[in-house]
Amino acid sequence: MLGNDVIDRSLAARQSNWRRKGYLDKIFSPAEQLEVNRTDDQDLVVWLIWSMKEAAYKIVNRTMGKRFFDPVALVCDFDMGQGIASGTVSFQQKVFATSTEIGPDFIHTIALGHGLAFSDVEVVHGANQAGYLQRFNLENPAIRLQKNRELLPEIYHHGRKEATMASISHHGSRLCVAFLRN
Amino acid sequence: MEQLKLLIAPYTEEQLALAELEENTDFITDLKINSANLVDIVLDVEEKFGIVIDNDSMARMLTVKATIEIIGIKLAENAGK
Repeated sequence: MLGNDVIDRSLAARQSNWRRKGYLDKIFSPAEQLEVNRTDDQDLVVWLIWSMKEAAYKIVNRTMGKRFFDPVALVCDFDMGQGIASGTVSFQQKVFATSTEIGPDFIHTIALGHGLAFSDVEVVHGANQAGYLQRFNLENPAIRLQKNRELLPEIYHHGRKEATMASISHHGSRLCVAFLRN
Repeated sequence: MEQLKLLIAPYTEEQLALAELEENTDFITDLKINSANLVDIVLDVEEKFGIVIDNDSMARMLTVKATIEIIGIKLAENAGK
């Protein structure tokens, strides 16, 4: 299972004031808040942790078939490099590996369930606009983004006539589709 | 419900769903509220009603119905103190 989450950094800055009193207490553990407090780029670290939680939540939501809003329960740990971060998100007894790409105007995290590697995953970036599904399929003729019977996204590979699991995220001007190669 | 509608309005662009707000309205699927803004709604509800919403309650605050229930429970707890 995989999940992804993209954040349009300029929209996040306009849309959400994480500095509001009590805000971080609702979404981050004390350890995660400490990570925010000790960095020079607080906006980046806030949205990095948030995208990790959102990507992992998608896996939990799909595997448990349950919706909930409990960001503190998704516990993040990460190492940050130049333009990239890798880490884990723990939820109850489960641990998901995460890999985050950090661009000047976006943050994109992929979370993976047990048994999958990041080399198994392909990511396609696109523009988030009305009718993005049709546009995506026009721009990527070898594959087709579609929904399976359970209404979950999948990628159909025309060449080998097979579908693999996918995860879609869009925010602001950004669209990211992550899918398994095999 | 009307108080809640006013409070939610700044965070949604789905004017029709907002105008037709009812118990089963879902913040994310119907009102397309960004999950980072759900936190603002929780904080606004806390301020407006003078209550504290714990994480377990927040976890199920995805619909108007659940939110009204939680406000009721927390107000009752406050009254009993």
